[in-house]
Amino acid sequence: MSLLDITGLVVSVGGKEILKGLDLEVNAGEVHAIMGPNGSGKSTLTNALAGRDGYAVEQGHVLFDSVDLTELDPEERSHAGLFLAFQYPVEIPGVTNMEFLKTAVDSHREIHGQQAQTAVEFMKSLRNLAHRLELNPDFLKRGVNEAFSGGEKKRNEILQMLCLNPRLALLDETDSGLDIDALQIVAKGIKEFCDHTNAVVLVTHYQRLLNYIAPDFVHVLLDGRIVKSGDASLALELESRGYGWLNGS
Amino acid sequence: MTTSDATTPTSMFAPWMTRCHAQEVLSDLGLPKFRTESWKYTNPQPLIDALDEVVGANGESVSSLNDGVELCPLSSPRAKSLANPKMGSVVAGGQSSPMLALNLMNLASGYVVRAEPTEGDSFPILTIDAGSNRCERFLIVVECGATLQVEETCTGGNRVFECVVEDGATLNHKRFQNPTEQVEYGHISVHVGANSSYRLEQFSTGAQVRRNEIVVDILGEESKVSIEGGWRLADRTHVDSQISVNHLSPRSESEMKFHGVVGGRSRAVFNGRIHIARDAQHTAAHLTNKNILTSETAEVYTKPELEIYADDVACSHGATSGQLDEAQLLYMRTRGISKDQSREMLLNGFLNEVVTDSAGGRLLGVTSAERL
Repeated sequence: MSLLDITGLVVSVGGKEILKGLDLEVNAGEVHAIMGPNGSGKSTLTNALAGRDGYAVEQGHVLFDSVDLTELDPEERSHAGLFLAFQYPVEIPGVTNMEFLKTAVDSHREIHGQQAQTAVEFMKSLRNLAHRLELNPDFLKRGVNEAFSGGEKKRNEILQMLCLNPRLALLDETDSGLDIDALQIVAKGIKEFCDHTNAVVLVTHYQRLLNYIAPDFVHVLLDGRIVKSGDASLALELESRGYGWLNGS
Repeated sequence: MTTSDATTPTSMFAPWMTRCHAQEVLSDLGLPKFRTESWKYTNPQPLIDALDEVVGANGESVSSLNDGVELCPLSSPRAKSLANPKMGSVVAGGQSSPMLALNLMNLASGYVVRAEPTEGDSFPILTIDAGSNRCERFLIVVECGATLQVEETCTGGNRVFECVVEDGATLNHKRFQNPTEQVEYGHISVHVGANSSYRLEQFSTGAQVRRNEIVVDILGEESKVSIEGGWRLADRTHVDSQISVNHLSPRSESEMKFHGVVGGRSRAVFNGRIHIARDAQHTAAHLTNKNILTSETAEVYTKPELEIYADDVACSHGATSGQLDEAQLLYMRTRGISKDQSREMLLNGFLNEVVTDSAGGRLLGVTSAERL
C-alpha cells in the first residue's frame, strides 16, 4: 500500500484547468523530486494537497495512506501526517514561534491520544532542533517568520517539519532563495529527517538541492501532467538540456 | 438638561474654577450635534442626556501608593494653589469644545494631583477606579523631574483630565475601559514640557457609546510621547477615539499605535491626527491604526491625519481595516491547528502587538495561554 497515491488528478483554479490528469505514487522510505518550468503546475499541486481554498479537485483521487485526502480539512491533513513546507512562508506578527509550534505539536499529540509535553520538555527539544539548524534560539521568541531573512524562513519550515515529524513532507521550493551555507543546513535537516517510515517530495526548479539529497525518483511536470519519470540522472539531464526536449519542441 | 439651560451651571462645585468661558462656548457653539465634523459617526445626544441621569451615587475612588504625590479634592481651598495657573478652565488643550464645557458646568467631583520628584527608583502610582456617571475632573501636575503613574478604570461616566508634564518629568497613564451598557465621555488634555515623557496605554471594550478625546501638546524640545492601545468590540457597542498630537517644539518624538478587533454589530471610530508646527523641525512622528472585522455587520471608520508645516521631519501615517488574513489562517491550519484556534491565535497576536500590559491584555481577552 503506497503512502501517497495520486491518480488522474485534475485541479482547476478560477475555472482554469491547471493540473490535467496527474499521476504520482510515493512509498515510505522514498525521496521524490518534482521538477518543471514556471507555470507547469508545481505550486497548484502543493496548494491542492495542502487544502487551500480555490483549488478545486475536478477529477481523480488523492489517497493518503488509503484515506481520501480531498475530504479532509487542512488541519486534518496535518494530523494524518502530511506536511507542506511553503514556498513563501507566511509572517504572523504577534504570535511567537514558540507559541505557534507548541500549539501545533500539542494539537497533534491530542489527536493521537498523547499527553501534552510540558513547556520545559518542549523548549528543550526545540532549542536542540534550532541548534541543529543553526538558528539563533532568540528567533523562537520572535513573531512567526516576522522579519526573518529568506534563509531563516526556509530553515524555520524545516524546523517545523522536524517538530511535527510527518509521514510525508512536501517541500515546495525550499531551496529557492538560499545561499550555499543555508542550502547545506537545510539539506542536512532534510537528510536527518528521512528514514524508512516516511517520505519526502521535493518540488524544485533547480538541480542543486539534489546534489545534497539524492532522490530515488525524479519526475518532470509539464503542462499539468507528469511527462517523464526517472532516477537522479534525469535531474542532471534536465540541468544540461532544459525542458524543451520533453515538449517535443 | 435641555438646550435652553445648558449654559446655566447646575453645580457650583469648586467655585474657583471659572465657568464664564464655558458659558461662552456653549452659547456660541451650542451643544454638539450628530453629523458635524467631529461627531460624524457618533451621536453625542446619549452623552448629553446622561448628564441628567446620575446612576450610582458615589463618586470616583482615588488612592495613591508611595510618597511623592499630593491629592486634593477640587472643592478644597488648597486646590487652586496646587493646580497649574492654566488649569481648571474649559480651555483644556486650547480647545473650545461644548462637551468640555458641559463637563465643567455639571462638575460634581474631582481632584488636583501634584507629583513631586522622589528619591530612588520608586514613583507614586495613582489609582482611579470606575466612578459614577457624574462629571469628574482631574488636574494633574507632574513637577520637574518627577514621575507619576496613573492607573485608571472606566465604566461609564464623564471624566476630564488636564495634565501638565513639566520639564524632565514623566507621566504614564494606563487606562482600562471596562465593558458597560452605560455611555462614557472621556477627555485627556496634556501639556508636555521639555525633555519629558508622556505615555498613554488605553485598552477599550464596548460600551453603549464610549467617546475618547485625547489632545497632547508638545511644548518643549526633545520630548517623547507614546499613545498606544487597542479595542475589542462585540454586540452593539460603539467606541470612538479622537486623538491629536501637536508638535509645537523641535526634536520631539511621538508614536500613536492602535489595533482593534471589531465584531458583532459594533462600530469603531478612530481619528488620529498629528500636527507639526513650522518650528517643530526634526520631529519624528508615526501613527498607525489597524482593524480586523470579524463579522459582516461590524463597522470601522478610521482616518489618520498628518499635517506638516516644518520641512525637516520624519513622519508616517496609515490605517487599515479588513478581515483575518486567509494566508495566515491556512498556514496555521496546515500545521494542525484547528480553524477556530487559528482564528483566536491570530486575533490574539494582532492585539498582542499593542498590548504591553498584562491587565490590558486580560481586558481585551488576549489569552496567550502559553507564555513560554
